[in-house]
Amino acid sequence: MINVKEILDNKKFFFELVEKELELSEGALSSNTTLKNLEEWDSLAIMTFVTLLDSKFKININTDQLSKCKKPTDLYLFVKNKVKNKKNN
Amino acid sequence: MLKIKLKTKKIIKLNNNLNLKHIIVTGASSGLGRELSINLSKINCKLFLTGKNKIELLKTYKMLKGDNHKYFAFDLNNLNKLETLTSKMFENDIQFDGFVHCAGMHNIFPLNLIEKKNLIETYNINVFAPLLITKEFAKKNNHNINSSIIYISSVSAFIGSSSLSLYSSSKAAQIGLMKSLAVELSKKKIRVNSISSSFFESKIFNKIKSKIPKENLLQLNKKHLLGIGKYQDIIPTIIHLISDDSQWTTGSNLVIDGGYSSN
Repeated sequence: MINVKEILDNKKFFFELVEKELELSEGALSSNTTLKNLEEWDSLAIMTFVTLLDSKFKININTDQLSKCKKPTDLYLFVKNKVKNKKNN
Repeated sequence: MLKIKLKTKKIIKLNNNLNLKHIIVTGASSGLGRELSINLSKINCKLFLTGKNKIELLKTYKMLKGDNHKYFAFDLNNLNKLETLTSKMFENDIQFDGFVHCAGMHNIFPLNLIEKKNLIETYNINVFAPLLITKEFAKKNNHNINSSIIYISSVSAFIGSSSLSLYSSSKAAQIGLMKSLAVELSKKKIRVNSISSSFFESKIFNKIKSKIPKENLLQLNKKHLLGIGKYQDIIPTIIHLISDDSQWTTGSNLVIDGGYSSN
């Protein structure tokens, strides 16, 4: 089992998890590239990411919301926020 | 000159009267199951509804026309307790004329993220539950002669899509189940058929729409030559399969998909 809190508190851990589950190359997300320029961030990767968030973080998102994320860091902040808001509700 | 004498052809009489037929519908708490139930009640069928969500199932029940319908909320994933459902279904002297399995578990799962519990849940709802309900249905005194069983399957059974391996394999299993049961139950004059539908406007489709990237959605729309379906595009076929009009149809998988699988 993964420790959700530990992963959400640390961007590096979060990227590692996503890279592992989506089988992206190591460090693909920690480089300062935009998602648009990241070839591996294709439609299958996006779908896998959405499923991953649902199964591991118990948050339900749609792909429209993701399109606002320009960089990997935005993904991290988006998920972190989403989990935080969920707890407050 | 040679005169050809035309034989008078007997006019075919349609026999799509479902008056007072007793039908079981699973997945009746939403989507296709709900719409089908309402339509069947309008043509005077007597229904036994089941669905996972008790509140929504009751809503469907209240939307039905006529009386003498029954309902019982049950989660088909709870296979160990399925008897509580089937004992309610067949507790009276009612002999059923039809069983439509509308309940379905649809999930988008990239291979990497499939876990054991997903396997079991998907197959419980899509394959094992209809098998076990059919088993009870086919027992003596639980069904009428010339009864009809219909599983709502999917074009995914024979069209590959990324992230749908678990779902599509279970839908293919449903068709295999239907084929063999059609043979086995023909002795009892029970017909078994399935429908491979594609996407139609439903709760499941709305969920999927939000989970896949826009460009994939556009592609999906394009592949449906006649557009994304609506409930009324598929319900008449189900009614046809229940009725005696389809008395020579068994072991068939009808593809109703707006041209999706031909494109």
